Amino acid sequence: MNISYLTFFIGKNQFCIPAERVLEMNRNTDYTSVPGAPAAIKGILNLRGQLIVAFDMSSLLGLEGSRKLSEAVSIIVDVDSSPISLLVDGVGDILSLGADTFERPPNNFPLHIRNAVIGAHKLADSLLVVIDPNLLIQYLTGKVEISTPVDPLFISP
Amino acid sequence: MQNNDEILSEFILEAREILDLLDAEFIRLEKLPDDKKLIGNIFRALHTLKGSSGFFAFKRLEKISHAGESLLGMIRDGQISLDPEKVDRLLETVDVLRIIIEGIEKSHSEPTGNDQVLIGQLQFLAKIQAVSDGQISQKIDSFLLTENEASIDSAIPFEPSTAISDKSYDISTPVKVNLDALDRLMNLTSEMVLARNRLLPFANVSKDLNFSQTVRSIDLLTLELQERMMKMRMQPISYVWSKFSRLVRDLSRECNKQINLIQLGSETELDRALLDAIRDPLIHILRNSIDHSIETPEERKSKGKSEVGSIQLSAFHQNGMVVIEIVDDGAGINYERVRSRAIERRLVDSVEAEGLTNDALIELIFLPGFSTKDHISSLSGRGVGMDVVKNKIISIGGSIELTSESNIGTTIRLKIPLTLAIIPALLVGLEEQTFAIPENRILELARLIKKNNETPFEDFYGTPVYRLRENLIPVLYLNNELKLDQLSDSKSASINMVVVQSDEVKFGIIVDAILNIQDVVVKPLGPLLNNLPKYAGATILGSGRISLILDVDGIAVESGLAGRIRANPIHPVAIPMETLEEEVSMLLFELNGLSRIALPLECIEHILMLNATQFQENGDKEAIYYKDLFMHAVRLQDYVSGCNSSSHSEQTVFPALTCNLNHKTYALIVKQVHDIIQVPKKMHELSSPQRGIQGCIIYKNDVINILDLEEVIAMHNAHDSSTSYPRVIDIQGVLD
Repeated sequence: MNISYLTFFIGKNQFCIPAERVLEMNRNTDYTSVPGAPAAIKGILNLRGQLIVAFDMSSLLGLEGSRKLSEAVSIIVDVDSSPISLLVDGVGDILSLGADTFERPPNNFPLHIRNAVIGAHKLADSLLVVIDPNLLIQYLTGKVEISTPVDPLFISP
Repeated sequence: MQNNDEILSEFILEAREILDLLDAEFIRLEKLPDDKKLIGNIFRALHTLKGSSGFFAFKRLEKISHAGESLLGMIRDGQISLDPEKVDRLLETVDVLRIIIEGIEKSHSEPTGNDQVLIGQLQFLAKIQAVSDGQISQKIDSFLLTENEASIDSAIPFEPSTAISDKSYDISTPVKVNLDALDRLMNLTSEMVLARNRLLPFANVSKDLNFSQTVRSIDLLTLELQERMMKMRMQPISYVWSKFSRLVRDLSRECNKQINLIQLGSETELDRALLDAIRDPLIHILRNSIDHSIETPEERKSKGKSEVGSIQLSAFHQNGMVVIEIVDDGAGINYERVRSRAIERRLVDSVEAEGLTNDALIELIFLPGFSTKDHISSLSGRGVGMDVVKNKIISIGGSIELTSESNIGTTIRLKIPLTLAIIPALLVGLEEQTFAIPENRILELARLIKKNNETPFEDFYGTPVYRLRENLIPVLYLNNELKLDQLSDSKSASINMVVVQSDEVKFGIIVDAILNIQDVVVKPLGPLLNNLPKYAGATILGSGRISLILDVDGIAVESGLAGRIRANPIHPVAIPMETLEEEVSMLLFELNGLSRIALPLECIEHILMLNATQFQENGDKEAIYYKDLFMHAVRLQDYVSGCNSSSHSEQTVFPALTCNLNHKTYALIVKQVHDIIQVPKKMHELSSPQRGIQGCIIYKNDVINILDLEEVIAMHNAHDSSTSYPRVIDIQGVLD
């Protein structure tokens, strides 16, 4: 049984998230920054009257994104029936992939990224990293404790 | 199955209402044991419950309510009399019934349990006197028999409509709406309000009359929708209070005290969410009163008080807030014990404690980890203190005050906002962003002019402070507090300061720009951002942009102004009204030809800036229509001695002080508003009476005249005022 994934880019790196989680995509990146919030939280967006926390995926994944956020795409993802926005540099195709190409991350995987990454699909020429937004939010709200001595989200990029 | 579940949940709802009613009615019955109608009500309610239980084959419910009903039946028929023991037993019956109902709600089936003891007791109570009189016992038997038949026969529950149509059975909930559905509707209404706000600017610039009119009607409809929606969420405070009579009764019996609970204003309405929030604090306060404050009957007698103590709960509206007072006539706070306990708990050191006034000692009670009762009783003193009560009240935007007099009693006063969802807030600009500050925290706004490009703040060993009418207040730069980039002060010639109050700390917040006050819909920031104490939430502005709502208390705590120093407020002079009772706040203003005239601040509601075009002719007078308010314009210079009344044509903007007198609103037009001053209450009399002037006071070596508001208004209202005091209103000049 195959699962559909939406692929997206941070700089030149390609990632994907399960497509069934995606509510919508738009270019509404007119966020209001929240001084004092963790560095990965860019701010809050107004989605038809609903307040949505916008995450900067490049900072969350510790990558150099294309710095122009005005050109970013906001992927609205459903997490525990409350939506959040993931700001990415661009979106790619929707791929349908099966369990046969999936591999879990190795044990020496960087801890802070392991909070968000559940594994990767082996594509013909590259590895497509799968991000689980649920896991990410659970970690951010402290529902899942991961023994990291330094919280990577609170280090400014 | 679905259908069954629905019927069952309806049954549970109904049963709960009946139990709540029973609780309240039993307490009333204890006071009025001869009220036949009351007994009848209780009997019918219990009977309805029994009937419905029979329908669902809940045997335990049925048996217990039957036993209770039988006892009540005999009381109703006057065969036996009601005494506290019977009331206890009957209340116990209600408790057991409640437990069973809760069990049914959880598991959809009746929880198992043995009720023989309770049923036996009920039957025993019913028989005590019956046995002594054979005739009556027979009557009971027949009564029991018919009742039994009724419950077995009736597959249909006891006709509930008869119970509801009975006026004394006060369950008046015509439609039951799920609270979630109501909240969602409320959210939609808020969105509607926001969409309306976005629409209004278009209508203002549009030349299309039809469009403007349509927008206007949408505006009005939305306003009404919002008001109705707010009303729907409102519930009378009796929703919370109704349970208190039972609570007070049980607790006072437990402590062997006699307490009379008086409830005033139980029809006062509050937002449902707030009602839920104040329930626990109120219970805690009541427990404290019963356990700590009210004395035992013997003690009370020896003090010359009535043996029965009283606790009075009252609720009323005041200035857009709901005030809840809990007044007891008990022993009051033992200040010496508070002092010694505070030292014991190391909240203050002994030297410091000696110097504390009673007011300061009361503040200590609200500190975490404070409890004066020497032993921990079952009622209060579980380590949960008044600090928890205070935090809860503050978290919903309220405040708490406590006053106490030895042997006279304690008064606790809670001020609760009417609703949480929509609050008036001041929008301020900081760099590119807009922030909102809840209006109820704002004391005043000040625009400070820099002299020689220096800030008007003084340096208090590195901490910026400002002299606000002889009181030093600490000053916070909002951009520093929010860790935004430091903005160089030198850019603008003036500084905007918002003076706010957080608990007992008063401080100034420096912002870049002060925008306007508007009603904002508070939205929570959600779990991802709720660890930021500086924000109370966010709101969506008319433009669609989001603005963060600042939490004044959070900022005070984060900056170190509050919290750590709470036990020792650094600004005792910040509350001059209480420390110096002889002083009064006056607004100092200027009229044409009279440079120093003042009016007590309490007379004034608002200060407005009016354009000449806002004055409209109203007979031989002038009127102002401002924000849905009709006001009579009173040009003070026409009524006050020593003023130059004809030359007001050069001015284009007029400050107006609005005030209410005899249910009319007046706008007093002045030349310029200067300051708010603290002056002695005592006034010097004038050597000869002057028109419109009451007297004078000396402030900083200046003579300041005090306006006689009533005389001025009387002159204004007199029909022939224009002939008795010649005056010319240069309307042409004004309109130019």
